Amino acid sequence: MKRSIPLRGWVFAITVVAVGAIGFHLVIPWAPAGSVFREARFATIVDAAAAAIILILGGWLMYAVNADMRSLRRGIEKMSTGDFGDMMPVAGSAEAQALARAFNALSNRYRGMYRGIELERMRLAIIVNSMPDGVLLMDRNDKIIFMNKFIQEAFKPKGDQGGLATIGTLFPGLNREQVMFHMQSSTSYTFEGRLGEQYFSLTFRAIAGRGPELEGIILWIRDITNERLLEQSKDEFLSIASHEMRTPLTIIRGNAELILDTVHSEHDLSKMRDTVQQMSTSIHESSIRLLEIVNGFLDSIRLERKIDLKPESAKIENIIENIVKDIKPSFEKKNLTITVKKPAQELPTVFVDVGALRQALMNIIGNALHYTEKGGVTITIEAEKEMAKIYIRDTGMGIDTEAQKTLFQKFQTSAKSFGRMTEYGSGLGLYVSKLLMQAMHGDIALQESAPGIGSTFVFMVPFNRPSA
Amino acid sequence: MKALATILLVDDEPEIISLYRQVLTKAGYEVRIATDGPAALEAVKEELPSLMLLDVKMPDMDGLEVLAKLKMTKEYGRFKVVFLTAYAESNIAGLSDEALKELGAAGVMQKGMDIHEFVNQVKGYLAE
Repeated sequence: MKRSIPLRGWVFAITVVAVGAIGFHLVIPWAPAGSVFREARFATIVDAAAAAIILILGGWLMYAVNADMRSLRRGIEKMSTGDFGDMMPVAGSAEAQALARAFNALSNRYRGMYRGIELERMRLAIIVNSMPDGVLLMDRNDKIIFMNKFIQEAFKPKGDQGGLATIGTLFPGLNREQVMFHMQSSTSYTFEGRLGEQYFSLTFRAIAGRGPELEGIILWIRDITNERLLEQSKDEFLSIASHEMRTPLTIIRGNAELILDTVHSEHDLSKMRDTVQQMSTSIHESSIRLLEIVNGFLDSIRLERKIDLKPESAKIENIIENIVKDIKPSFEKKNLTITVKKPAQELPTVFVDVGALRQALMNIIGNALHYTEKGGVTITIEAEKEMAKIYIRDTGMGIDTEAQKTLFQKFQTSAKSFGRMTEYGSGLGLYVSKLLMQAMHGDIALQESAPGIGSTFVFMVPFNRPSA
Repeated sequence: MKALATILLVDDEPEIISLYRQVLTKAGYEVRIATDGPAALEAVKEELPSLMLLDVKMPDMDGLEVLAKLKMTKEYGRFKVVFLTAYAESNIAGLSDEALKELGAAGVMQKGMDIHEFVNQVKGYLAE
């Protein structure tokens, strides 16, 4: 590109000439003698003209410089509001252009930094707002200066009331004075409160200022409903569990003491043979029951924590036949029958942990055996879509409608109706069986039951799906 | 030998009944049995006991309900009712020992205590 002399260069040159004209008190020496161009009068006019030119050009120059300054100022002003969008136009004098370029470089650099900060701010906002906990910031004047989405949505506090005052109205049993009282002696204070059906934990933490006064308070709110409910169910579990264990323990202890008394007081023990035998039997049976309860606890705890089962391909017919073979003598002892009905064609293999399925089936068949006095148990195997269905029908005493509702619950109980356990079993068998079946993606249910007629339980056992 | 007193033992657990029947019979008491709430109310009508040992947790009608029903009969107040429970504390029903007493029971006895202590406590309630 052709380099041309800039306008201001010309202005500068003309000014120099003008200043020179004034300085040398310019006349035109080659003008004919006696002409007006050689007279002092002429020089004065030229001086005046030159002075006028200097004034005009100087003014223009000042204006031009000012314009550069103005544009520079506007750029700075814009930047100070955080708007780095436009670059400053590179124009005007070389100096002004250099300045603009330097400014633009600076602006560029700050724009990068600013964008980084914005990004960081956005990330923090996303993090803070997606937190499952609430966080709220109050300044020292009790004004809410920040709250995350959790608090906005869960509590909708109004800032104009004052932060602590507002929080106080939300939670019964909490007020501003109380928080401030605790904050004086400690840097944090935790309050647990209930709001409707939910429980919350509120932790107030002081933000220290430079002076002795508080800079502000940060409040963390956590929904502890689940923890509370878990605690309650744990308490309930312990209460029922200890009750269930105390009953056989009472029998064991009492009978052992009776035996000891007998041994101490009777010289001829052969007379007491029957009594002692009866007491020993009680102890024996109760200890077995206690062991069942403890095993039931361990099973349920293990299964609730989802310890992995080892599923494998297996033939359901074989599993059932093995169980029947093992349990048949017990049925025969009570003069009961146990029969298996299966379809003529072979069933697909099932995908189960054989031990776990066996435990669950044994549980139901064992119950059927225990609660049936005449007739027997029929096991029917059917195929249905992706599941094998195993019906276990007994002709036993049946389960009353009320008990059916809570049949598969821990200790077959609901808190309202008290724990309820028969003299037989731990009260955990059905619960454990259901856990086991569900862990194998199967299920177990009570098909039907009528008091005095019998019960039918059904097992759903998944077939082995051919891997794709 | 004439029995010291008649005790009505109400519990749904046969083994518990068997145990405490022996313990109390050995101590010289006449023991009558009821295995559920309705039977207990019936037994009281038939013959007034000196003391009723009432299990709290029973199917269908629990001890609290038995006591509440008993309160509406003319027999109530003519003998003592003591709760007999395997709960460490009775908070499963939302009730403390004090609250159980307020319901009209003379006291609460925990199952699982030494059998001699058990007899002593029974003696205590009968002597009061």
